[in-house]
Amino acid sequence: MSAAAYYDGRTARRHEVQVSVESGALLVLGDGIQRREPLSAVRVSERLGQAPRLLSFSDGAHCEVRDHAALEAALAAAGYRQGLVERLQRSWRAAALAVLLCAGAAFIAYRWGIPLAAQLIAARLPPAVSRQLSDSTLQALDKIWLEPTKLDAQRRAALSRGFARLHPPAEGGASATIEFRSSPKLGPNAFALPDGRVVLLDQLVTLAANDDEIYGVLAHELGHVHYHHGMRMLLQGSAVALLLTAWVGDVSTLLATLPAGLLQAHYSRDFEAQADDYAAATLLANGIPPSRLADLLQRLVAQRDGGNKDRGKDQGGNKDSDGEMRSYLSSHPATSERILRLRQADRLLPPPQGWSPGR
Amino acid sequence: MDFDQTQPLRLEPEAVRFHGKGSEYFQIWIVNLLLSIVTLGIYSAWAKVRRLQYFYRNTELAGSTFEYHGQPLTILKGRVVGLLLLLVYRFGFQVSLTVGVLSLLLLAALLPILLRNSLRFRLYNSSYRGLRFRFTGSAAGAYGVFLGGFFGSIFTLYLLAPLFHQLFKEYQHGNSWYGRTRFSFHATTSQFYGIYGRAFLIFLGLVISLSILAGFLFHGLLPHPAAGAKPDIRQLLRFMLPLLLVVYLPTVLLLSAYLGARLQSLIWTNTRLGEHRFEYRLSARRLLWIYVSNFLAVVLTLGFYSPWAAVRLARYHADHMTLLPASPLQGFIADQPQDVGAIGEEAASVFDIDISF
Repeated sequence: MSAAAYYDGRTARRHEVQVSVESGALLVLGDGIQRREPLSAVRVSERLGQAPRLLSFSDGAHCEVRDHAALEAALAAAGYRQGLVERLQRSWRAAALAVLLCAGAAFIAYRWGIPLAAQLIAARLPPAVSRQLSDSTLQALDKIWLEPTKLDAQRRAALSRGFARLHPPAEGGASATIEFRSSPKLGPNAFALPDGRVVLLDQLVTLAANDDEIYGVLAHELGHVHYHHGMRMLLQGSAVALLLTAWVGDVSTLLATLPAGLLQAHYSRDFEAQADDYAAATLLANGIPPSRLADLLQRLVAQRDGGNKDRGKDQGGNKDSDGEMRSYLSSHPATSERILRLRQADRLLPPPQGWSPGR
Repeated sequence: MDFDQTQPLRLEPEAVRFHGKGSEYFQIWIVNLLLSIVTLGIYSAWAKVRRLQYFYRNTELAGSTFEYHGQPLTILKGRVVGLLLLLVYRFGFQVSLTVGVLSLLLLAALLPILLRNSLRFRLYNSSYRGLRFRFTGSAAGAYGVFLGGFFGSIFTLYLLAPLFHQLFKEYQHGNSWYGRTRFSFHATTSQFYGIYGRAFLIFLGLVISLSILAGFLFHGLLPHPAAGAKPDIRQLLRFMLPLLLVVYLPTVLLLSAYLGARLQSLIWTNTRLGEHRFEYRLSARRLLWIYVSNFLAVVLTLGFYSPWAAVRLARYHADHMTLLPASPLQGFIADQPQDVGAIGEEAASVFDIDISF
C-alpha cells in the first residue's frame, strides 16, 4: 500500500489515492476513484533516482507515486522485474565501471579509432574533393601569406627536373608537382596540398646549402601526400572537435574547441614522423643520406632561435614567459628527435658509388 | 496547497521546485553515456529521453510533477535528419557551386518547418497532471520568424535581431497551450532592445579593456612569421590561447550570464497562462557564478562534473520560477480538460520530428 496521486487524463484534477498490488492487478482506491487493472496492462515507468514514478493506464490516466520503497516491494512481490539499464543506473559499482570504460573508449577512439577511420575515408575520397580543397587552400594562402616566386625559370626547371627524377621508395609512388612561391612572412618553408601539389618557398631554397637538402624537404612533403596526411588531418580534426562538442558542448562550446587544438598537435607529430620516414626511404633509394634533411632542419631551428633573438624589439622583457610557452607548445623537442632519427637513418645508406659526401 | 477559503482573492504564489541531485543524475548519465558510445551514438536518443524524464519528473509545481513522453525512435529519426542536413550544409559548396546553392535553398525551405515541428513535438510530449501541452504555431509564422529573422538580422548587421527575438518569443509562447488554456506573450520590442543595447555596451567595454590587458600580458607571444615553423595548429594556438583565455572566455561567460538572466526574466515575467502570471527573477551575478564555477569544475574533472553542473543550473532556473495565480489555482487546474482532438492530430503527423539536441 502506498500513497499516490491519480489523474484521469481528461482533467488536471488531482485525486489522493492509495495504490496496492493484489494477485497480479493494480488497485487504485480513494477520493472517489476505484480502479483495478491487470498489472500487465499498466506501464510502469522506470525508476530514475528519487523522482516520482508513473503508473500509466491505457486510457491516458496515471498515478504519480513517491513512496518508492513500498511500491518497489509491491512490484517485486508481484513478479515485476527491473530492466538491466534501470538496475545499472542505481549502482555505484556500475557507475565506476562505466567511468573507466568511457575513459578507455575515449582513449581508444582518439589513439586508434579516429585515425583509422580518417585513413580509410581519406584513401577513398574522390580526387575531385581533394582537388577542390587544395585549390581553395592555395587561393587563401596566396591572398594572405604568399607572393609570386622570385627564382628564375632556369633554377625552377632544374629543381622540378631533379625532383621528378627522384625514385620513389619501394612502398611509395606518390608523384607531385612543385608550386613555386615566395613568402617573407612565412620564411623558409614548404607544404603539401591534399591533392599532391607541393608549395616550395624561395626562402627555403635560399636557406638550403645544396639541392639534396631541398629534395629531402620535398620527399618529406611527398610522404604527407602519399599517406593522405592533409585530408586525414582535416577529418581527424573535425571528428575530435565534433566529439568534444558532444562531450562538454552543453557546458561550453569554447571548452570543446580549446583542447581540440592540443589533441590535434599529437596527430600532427605522428604525421611528421611518418613523413620523415618516407623522406628517409626516398633519399636512401636515391643514394642521398637522410641527414641532408636533418642538416636543413638544424639550420631552420638555428635560424628561428637566432631570428627571435634579433627581433628583441617587440619581444620586450617577456623572454621568459615566451620561452616557457614555446617549450610547451612548439615542436622544439620533437624537432631534435626528428634530427636524431634522420641522422641514424644514414647507416642504411649503401656504400657510396661515385658520390662525394664532402660537397 | 493551502488556500484561505474565506478570502478567495488573496492568492498564494505557487513556487516551482526542483528536486534533482547531481549524484543521482551522474549514475543515470554515465550508464547512458557508455551505452551511447558502445552503440556509436544510436542509444543517445534513449539517453535523451531519460535525461528529460529525470529533469521533468523532478520539477514540481503545486505538489505535482511534469512528465516527458517523447519516443526514442522519433528522436533518433530527427537526429538522422538533422545530421543529413548538417552534412549537406557543410559539404554542399565543396562539391560544386550549384550543389551548394541548391543545398542552401533546401535548408531554407525545410528548416523553419522542422523547427516548428520540433517545438510542437517538445510541447506535445510534455505534460503536467496528465494533461499535455500543445503548440499551434503555423507554418507561415515559422517562415516569417525563422527565415525573416535570419535574413533580417544578418542584412541589418544584427540591428533587427532584438526585434526578431521578440517576434520569435511571441510566436513560441503565444501559440502554446496547456489543456484548453492558451499562453500569451506581452514583452515589447523596446524591452528587448533595452537589454540587448546594454549587453552591447557591456560587450564593448569588456572587449576593449580585456584586449588592452591581454596586450600588456602577452605581447611577447605574438607569432613571428619568419619563425620557419609550418603554419600549423601549434603556431596558431600560441597566438590564440592568450586571447581565448583573457578576452574571449570572460566576455562570453559574462555576456551569456547577463543576457541569460535578463532575457529569461523578461520573457517569463511577461508570459501569461490564461490570466495567470509568472514571476521569474534571475540574478546575472548569481548566474555568472554558476557558469564560472561549473565551467572550472567541468574542465578540472575532464567533463565528468557535467551532470552536477546540469543539475545545479536546472535547480537555479526552476527554483526562481513562481506561478502567480489570478484565480484559485486548484479550480482552474481541475477544470482543465484534455484537448482530445489535438492528440490524434499531432501524434499522427508524419513530420513529427525533434531535431533539437
